[in-house]
Amino acid sequence: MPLTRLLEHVLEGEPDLGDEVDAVFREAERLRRRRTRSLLAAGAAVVAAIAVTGYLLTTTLLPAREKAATPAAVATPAASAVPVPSDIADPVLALLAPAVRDKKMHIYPRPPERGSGWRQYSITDQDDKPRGTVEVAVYRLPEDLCFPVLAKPNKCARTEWAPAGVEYVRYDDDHDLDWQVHQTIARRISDGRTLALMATGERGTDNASTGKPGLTGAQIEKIGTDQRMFDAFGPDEDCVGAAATACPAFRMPVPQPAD
Amino acid sequence: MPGDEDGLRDFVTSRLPHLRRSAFLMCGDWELATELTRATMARVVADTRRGAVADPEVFAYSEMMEACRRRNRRREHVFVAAAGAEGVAAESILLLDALHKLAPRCRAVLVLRHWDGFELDAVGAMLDLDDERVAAYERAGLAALQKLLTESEAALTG
Repeated sequence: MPLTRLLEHVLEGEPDLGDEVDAVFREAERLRRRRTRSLLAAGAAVVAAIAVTGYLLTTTLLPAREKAATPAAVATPAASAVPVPSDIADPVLALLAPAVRDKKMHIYPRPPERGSGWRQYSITDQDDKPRGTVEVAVYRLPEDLCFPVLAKPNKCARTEWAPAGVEYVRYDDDHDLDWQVHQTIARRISDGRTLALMATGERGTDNASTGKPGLTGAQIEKIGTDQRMFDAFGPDEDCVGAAATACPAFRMPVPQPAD
Repeated sequence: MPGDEDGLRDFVTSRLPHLRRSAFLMCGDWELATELTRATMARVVADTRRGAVADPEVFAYSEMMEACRRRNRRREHVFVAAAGAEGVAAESILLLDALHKLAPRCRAVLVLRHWDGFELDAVGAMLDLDDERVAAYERAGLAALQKLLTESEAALTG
């Protein structure tokens, strides 16, 4: 007897199908929902993994690298009890760091590193030798500003214009080998926020080369007129008034309203 | 068939009984066969709706045979009569028993070829075998089944 005929007998007593067709479609719907949930869960897991990785990288690796760049010879940063912010935590540092790193140097906050309306940083070269400081401050000066002239204190300088309505004057002074300075004062005319950015060379070297600032005058001009630098400070930060006493002393001071 | 719900329902309605019988021949348990058939057909429906199935029939039998193969790995007892079923003929039990002494792939070839009536190439597509291998399994399966049945009948009559 052929196998097919034999198998027919085996299937005698087959139970009724009942509503199996509907059950199949209900099961298909459950399967679709399960797959959708799995897909969403997998997506959420990927997003969470990326977020955790990003968090770990930014909070662990970047500060660690900054810390590693801190030379043992420079006592002040090492002595600071204040956590060193990463580029991401400090938008001012984020704007300064690329230019410094392009020159194979390092930049990090210099205690007292920050206050309302101001920040200050130290620069070291690739041999961990100090290459001076960078100081920056913002001022709320809604009225017109008389940009000072280096050689003539009572005169107003002719301003240059940067994109997006920023007027500025650049000050470079390397006559004093012991205090070489590159500074820019810039003012955003839309809201009067004024910014002073200054790089100074390491003092006390008495040497034109080793006393040269870590950033050039052109770099200071470019960074100091960058809209992002104006926005890197909080809206209420201001070096005018009560907070002014803690603000850095610039080679070319920004005229205050009372001046 | 993607997007054709009526065509999909017609397919399920027409193929479900055949598929369940094949599943029963593979696993020897109507309850398990029903469960595996439902799960297989649900996958056919879900995957056809999203356009992931080229040939629903090949897909259905392929999935079913794989599901039976996975289940059979864990099973020692093979034949379970349906609840409420009348007495099953001794010859049927012997045949099922002989069928289940074959290797799962060999059994699948015999079921697909001799019960479902698929051609060599279709069976090859369902089991991921080339035609020669399907023919070899079929020859070996038939010979083994014949031998097993002869031995069983001899034991019964003897």
